[in-house]
Amino acid sequence: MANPVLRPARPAAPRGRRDNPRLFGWSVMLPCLIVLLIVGVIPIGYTLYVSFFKFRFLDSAAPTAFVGLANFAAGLQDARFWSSLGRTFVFAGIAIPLEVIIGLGLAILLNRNIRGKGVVRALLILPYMISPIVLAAIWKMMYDPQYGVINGLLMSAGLIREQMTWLSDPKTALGALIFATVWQWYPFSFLLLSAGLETIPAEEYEAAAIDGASGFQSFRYITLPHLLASFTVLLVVRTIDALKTFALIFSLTRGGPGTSTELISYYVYQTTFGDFNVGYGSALGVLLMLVMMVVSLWISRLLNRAILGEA
Amino acid sequence: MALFVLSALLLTACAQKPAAPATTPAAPAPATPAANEPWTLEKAAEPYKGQRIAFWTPTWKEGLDKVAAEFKAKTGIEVEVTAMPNQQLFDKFILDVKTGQGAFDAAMATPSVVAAALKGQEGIVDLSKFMKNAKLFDPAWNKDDVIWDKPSPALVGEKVFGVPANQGALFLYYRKDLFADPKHKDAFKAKYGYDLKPPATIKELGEVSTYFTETEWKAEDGTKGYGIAHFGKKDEGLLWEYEAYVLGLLKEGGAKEPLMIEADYKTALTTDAAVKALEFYKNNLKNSPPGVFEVGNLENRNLFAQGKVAMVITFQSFLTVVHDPAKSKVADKVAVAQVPGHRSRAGGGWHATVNAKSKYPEAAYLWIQYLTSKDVNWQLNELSSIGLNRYSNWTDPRFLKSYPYGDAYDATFKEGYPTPSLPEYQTLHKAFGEEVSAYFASGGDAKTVIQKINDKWTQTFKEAGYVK
Repeated sequence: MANPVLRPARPAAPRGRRDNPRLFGWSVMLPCLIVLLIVGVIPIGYTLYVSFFKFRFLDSAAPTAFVGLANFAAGLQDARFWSSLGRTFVFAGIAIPLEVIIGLGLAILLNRNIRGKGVVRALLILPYMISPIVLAAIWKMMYDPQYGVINGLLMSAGLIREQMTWLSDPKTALGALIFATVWQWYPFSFLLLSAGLETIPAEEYEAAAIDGASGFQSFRYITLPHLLASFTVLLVVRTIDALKTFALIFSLTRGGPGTSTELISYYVYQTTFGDFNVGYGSALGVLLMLVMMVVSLWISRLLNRAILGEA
Repeated sequence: MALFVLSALLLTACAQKPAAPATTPAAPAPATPAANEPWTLEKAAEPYKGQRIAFWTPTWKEGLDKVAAEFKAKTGIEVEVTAMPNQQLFDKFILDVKTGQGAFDAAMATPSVVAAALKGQEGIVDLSKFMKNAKLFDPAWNKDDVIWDKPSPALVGEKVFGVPANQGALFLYYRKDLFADPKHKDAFKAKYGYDLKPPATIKELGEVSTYFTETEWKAEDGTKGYGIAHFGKKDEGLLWEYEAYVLGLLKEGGAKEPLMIEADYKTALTTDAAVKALEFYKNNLKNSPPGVFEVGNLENRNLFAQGKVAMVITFQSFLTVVHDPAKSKVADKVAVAQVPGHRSRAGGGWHATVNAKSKYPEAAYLWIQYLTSKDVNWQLNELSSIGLNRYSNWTDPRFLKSYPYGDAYDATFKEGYPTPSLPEYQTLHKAFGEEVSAYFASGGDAKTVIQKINDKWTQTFKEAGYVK
């Protein structure tokens, strides 16, 4: 007979979820997964499904004919798809760096113990709190040729001689939208980079000062490397946001004059809900999603390499 | 992630039902009216008391709310009026009837939206079945008195899919005081060699609007006055106004009853008049106040009502507004004429329709029968300037006394053209707006622009299966 003292005791069987970490974890995540499935995965899946069909809403309430990759092929050959995508990259390429520069500058300025810092910070992030539609209404009034405050100020300062039609002139419309976007989104950069700055140990700056480093050298060799992770998140999130910019276009210019402010998300919307060409619009939406994935992966890899390189 | 997408695809593929073929509900046999019992709304609505219907409209909410309150007091049927911008209404209406959600019971729809709702299915109810029901139909409601488009997308054989709640006729509103001023009359005649009068041709429109831009006259606020408030914004208005110019030029050139889109889908854009009309429109924009590219349907009316321009081309619903001293600075200085070229819109405007998926179609029908009746239409016009939908209202002595422009009305209805009613009209006007707004802002060759628009329109007709 085996000696019960020498034989190791077998572990007790799990009595419930709390005793089974894996089961507990899945049960906690389940509601979130269900919501994600309903609001995320199923709509994406349906869009993908519909993109393989001819589906014109005016003709039928359901897809009518399977066309395989024809919608995608048409999208890739659609000059307007590429021009609106290119315009979107120009839009993002100007707006995002401006947001980052302004956000970083403000974050550095406020990264010290000054009186009223909290109040100033709250005021600075106000534009980010305003809903895009309200923001568009505000900018529409500000850009009004006759009564807008922008023309009023510029004319008072003698910088322009006649009223500018900011949103109706192809030369200025996109710039006007970029300006409004930067105003809305610089607080996001400011918040993210402020948080990043607060994680930088003060001792590193002290050590640099002792070694005789200048302000710029401290910024270049201490601040920037520490902020690379924040930059990664910022650029990925804002690039995806910029590719999705819709509310401002819809409210201010409807893509005009002509198509000078037609960004890719507005074009996809127009195709799907304006022309009711749901199959083709869905294919464009899928192509846009792929572009977003490629761009965000590329940005992440680029910056991760920089982070690892610095490490 | 791939697993999720695959499972989602499987789920949606299993859930996808084939599109059900459209079925036409059989019209009920007309009930025999009880002898010697006059029809009343209260009695007709008795079985539907307590029902609540959702009604969508582009505007006129204030007047509709009052009328809905009176309707409820009489019938016990509550009407919830929701106003939304035109484009939003188009999109939601189409989405709803195509997917069968039934989010509204009754709604206003333009002729092209009516046509879209009927393409491939009967997304809106054939009201003739209610009109044949003596219990529901008001014998005083005269169908022939309503101003229908000829042809109308709402009238399909014996079926009636919507009733015009207003009219889509364009008129030329002008400052009669300026035109009657001897100083202007003499100066104009000296320059152009004919008497100053409301322009009858496109050329005269250009000359009169140039005159009132180049000549100094003060607007009501003391600033410089201009000749005309053109549509300049990238929206549907561009096409409304352009149609008047191109069809006017075609008519002046001898065409009998030119249309933008003929029965064989040949368009007016293939004519020389199309290029001339666009060049005229662009050149004449200089006779509008600065900021013309921001001017749409409400803005151009406002410019005229504020006394900043001598003329505006806009819809008949502006009549009551511009003559109201509370809303217009030129209430006693305005007159109305036919649009120059004499071939502008005169068709049915917004149609009141009933959703095929409405749970309360009879109640919805009673509402729209009420709303489009002679007296209530009159009332709505007074309350919210909806515009008149019946010949008897247009020729009513009270109306002609307040707005004595009978000749303009008669001529417009006689010579005007029906509102375009293709389901794809939104796509057409967007294509037009994109090319023309770019041309107006940046210049270019009008012929190339017209060709591009025509190509886009032809592509739309092909995709819709109208042409090969």
